[in-house]
Amino acid sequence: MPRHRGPAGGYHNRPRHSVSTVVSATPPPAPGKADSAGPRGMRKYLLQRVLQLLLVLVVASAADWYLIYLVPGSPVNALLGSNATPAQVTALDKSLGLNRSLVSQYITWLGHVLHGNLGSSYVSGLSTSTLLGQRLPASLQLVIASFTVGLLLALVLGILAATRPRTILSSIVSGYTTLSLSVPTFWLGILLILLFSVRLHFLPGSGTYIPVWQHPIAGLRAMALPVATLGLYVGGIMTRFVRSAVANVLEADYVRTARSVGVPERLVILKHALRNALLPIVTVTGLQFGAFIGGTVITEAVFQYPGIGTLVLSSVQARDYAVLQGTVLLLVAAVAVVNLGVDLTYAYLNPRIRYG
Amino acid sequence: MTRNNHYEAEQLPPVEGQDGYLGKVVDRRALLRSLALGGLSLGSLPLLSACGGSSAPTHKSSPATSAAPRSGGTLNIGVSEDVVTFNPDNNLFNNFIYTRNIYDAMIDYTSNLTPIPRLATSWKMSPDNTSLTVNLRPGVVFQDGTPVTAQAIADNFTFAGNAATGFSLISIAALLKSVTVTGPTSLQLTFVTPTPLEKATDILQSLPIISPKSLTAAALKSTADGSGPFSFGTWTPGNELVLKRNPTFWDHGFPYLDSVVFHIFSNAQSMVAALSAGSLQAAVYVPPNLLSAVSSKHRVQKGHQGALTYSFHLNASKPPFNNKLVRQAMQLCFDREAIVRDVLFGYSAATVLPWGPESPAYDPSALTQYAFDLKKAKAMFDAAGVTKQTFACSCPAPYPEIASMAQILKADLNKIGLDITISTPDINTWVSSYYASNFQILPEFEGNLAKYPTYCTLNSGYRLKKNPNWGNGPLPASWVNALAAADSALTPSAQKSAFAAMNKSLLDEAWIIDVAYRQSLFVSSPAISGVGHNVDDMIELQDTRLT
Repeated sequence: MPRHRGPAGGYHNRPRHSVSTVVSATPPPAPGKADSAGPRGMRKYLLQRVLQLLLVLVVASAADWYLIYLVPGSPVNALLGSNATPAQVTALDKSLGLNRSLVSQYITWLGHVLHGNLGSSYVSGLSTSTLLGQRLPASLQLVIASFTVGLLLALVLGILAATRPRTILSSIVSGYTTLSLSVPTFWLGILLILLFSVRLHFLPGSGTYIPVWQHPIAGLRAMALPVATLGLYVGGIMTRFVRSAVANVLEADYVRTARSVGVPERLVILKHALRNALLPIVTVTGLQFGAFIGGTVITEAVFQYPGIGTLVLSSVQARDYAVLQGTVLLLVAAVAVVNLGVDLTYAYLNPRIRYG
Repeated sequence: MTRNNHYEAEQLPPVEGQDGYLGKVVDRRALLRSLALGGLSLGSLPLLSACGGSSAPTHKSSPATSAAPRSGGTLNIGVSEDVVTFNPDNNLFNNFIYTRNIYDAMIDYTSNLTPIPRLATSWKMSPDNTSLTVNLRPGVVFQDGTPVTAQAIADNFTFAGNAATGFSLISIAALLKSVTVTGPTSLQLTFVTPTPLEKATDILQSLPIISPKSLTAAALKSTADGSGPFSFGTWTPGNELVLKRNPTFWDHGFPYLDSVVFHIFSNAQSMVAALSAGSLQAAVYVPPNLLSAVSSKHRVQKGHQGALTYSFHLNASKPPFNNKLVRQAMQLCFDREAIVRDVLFGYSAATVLPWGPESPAYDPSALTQYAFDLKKAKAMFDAAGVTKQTFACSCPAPYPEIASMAQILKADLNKIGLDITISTPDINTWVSSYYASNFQILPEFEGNLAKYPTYCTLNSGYRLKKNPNWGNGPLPASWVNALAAADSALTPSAQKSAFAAMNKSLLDEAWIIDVAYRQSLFVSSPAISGVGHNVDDMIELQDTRLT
């Protein structure tokens, strides 16, 4: 038999138990329940979620339409400036359809959307789809990279802090999480620009989107600072949850059992504890995604990053209603899809969870 | 190789903690050059009254650089406001970066308003000042290959006269009774009333010529087509505008640059940070308060003084500023020296009138006559019954220096028992309140002030109809009469008298209080030379080179 070093440090002649043995200590699903919770159930669940998403999109677009119109001003102001005559203002209002009622404009817009037309920018004349298409790759690159960095940071620091409580490392991690919550992302971004870009001339401070898949090194350099800003922010938030989730799971009986049968500590954490700790972590990830999008808007503005965030800002300033509406729809859909993905991930992480 | 004329502001060393204004701002070389050209212009005035134009343009040489400039290359410039449209008739400040680079006009002006041929080689006013005959430069083509013909020019006047497309220049087109094509490269402009030559040449200078193929609002939304030194490359809204060398530009040998990339920033601080980090070679329209963040290796170049003026608008249709005495009292509450020193860091000069030193209406004595005097202002406020009041001041957010000027005003008003509340709405909300005449004090900066003085009516605050400062109601008779006199003044003495009447009305009625010139600041690395600004303070890159 193989010899294993147990948690207390001594050697024990114990059989190597498989993970499934430990995990399956929990009771299996009740007979019959697994039949109804199959692919048909999943399809029904997905259909329900899609219908919910459509409803959310309609409500969000109506609310957003109303709110943006509450703000004083009009795209005509941005286009004509302060020297326009009332006749010019009236003529442009009419040509843009802004002289119609709010409800009429919204219904017309909704009709176009149902035909796949998100409208055009009042300022540039380009279609909203084109503008989004120009910006989406940049934002996706930033979001994926930042979230990846943040999650990796969170997993590493969270696990380290959970497994080494009341140590200097744990204190450092606590300090980092506190700072990440209290330091505004725009302030951090500006500091990073000042240090790495203005002082050290080490990294570009602003304005550039270079696709990583086309120019890996240049792309990574160009987005290093915004990714660091966002990654540190989301990493700090997630680290707290990872630490808390892992610490809770490490107290569970099956983890104690795994240790007592001689499973290496690394496997205890990564294979046993983490998988069960992932459920709350995944939940929080989905919830944080919406807030993360907001942080992305601010970070893009600080770094002049040509993504959807800066598009939203410029559209608000110019009262470019169609572009704003299209962008909001996209962001709402993105958050909803991410949360759907989170829910579906549950089923993978925990086979006991079934939908339908 | 013909070197086209090109007004270029003096390059100054970077300013750190500079004190003062006026004499320290204009250096000796610039002053002497202005005087020399001014003398030349005055001497040739009798000739200009009969005809204009020359086939051999005069020009100023750019300051010598230490290294040999080279042709080619790409210039990366930061700008803090995005383009709104590529219709240059929309004379918004946002569009200044491309107007004179993509489009050309029939003439240009030197810094002291001497006309220089561009698309037009000569122009002749009829003896009765009712028509102007213009001859165009042959062989010029637009960037799409279409020839620049008299018909194309005529189409441009029609476009400018259309309310839906003419924007600011509709007032220019309204001066014309007709535009008649008399030949492939000649046309005749007939005015509604006899027009001074200087005002007529303003028309030639102000109208950027668009290719007939693109003379629609839809086409100019997102692309440009002119005959200037650069052609439209690409525009990613909110990100960058790329201009490319126009290989068919009529002035052979120009431009030197292969391309220009304008990087658009949503705020000036980010732009200056990028400049300091070396991501940009230059930045245009840099706020003076950010110059301290720029390395001393960079050069600062000022634009044309008198093109734009910071002014505080008073709503003369509502209390308390419907009382002339109150408006006149406010005129004395502005510490212009402090504004130029502390807000504009010496990169300006104080002024009481909107005109620059090159303008025929310029009157330096007004600055002394209406100097900062809180004691006198208080007496006038008391006489008008205005005591312990607070006025609302709405400053446009994109221009923080304006709010800083308002802060200085506030501090001074507090000394005499008055106050202002300062708000900084976004530009869209700010414009809305101006259109609706829903303001008490509304500061901004205005253009179209460097040329024939009545051109100021392109600004809504000076125009006679639908003027928000007067609640869209009638303007003072003194202003109406002074404008009419200036518009019809055909001789220098009549013009002098008319301009004096305009100034008297502006200072007496005081619904717009001018405080200082707004001169654009172009900050660049030493490797760049040949950047110019025209009299409207639009950037011109035809002569620009990298070393």
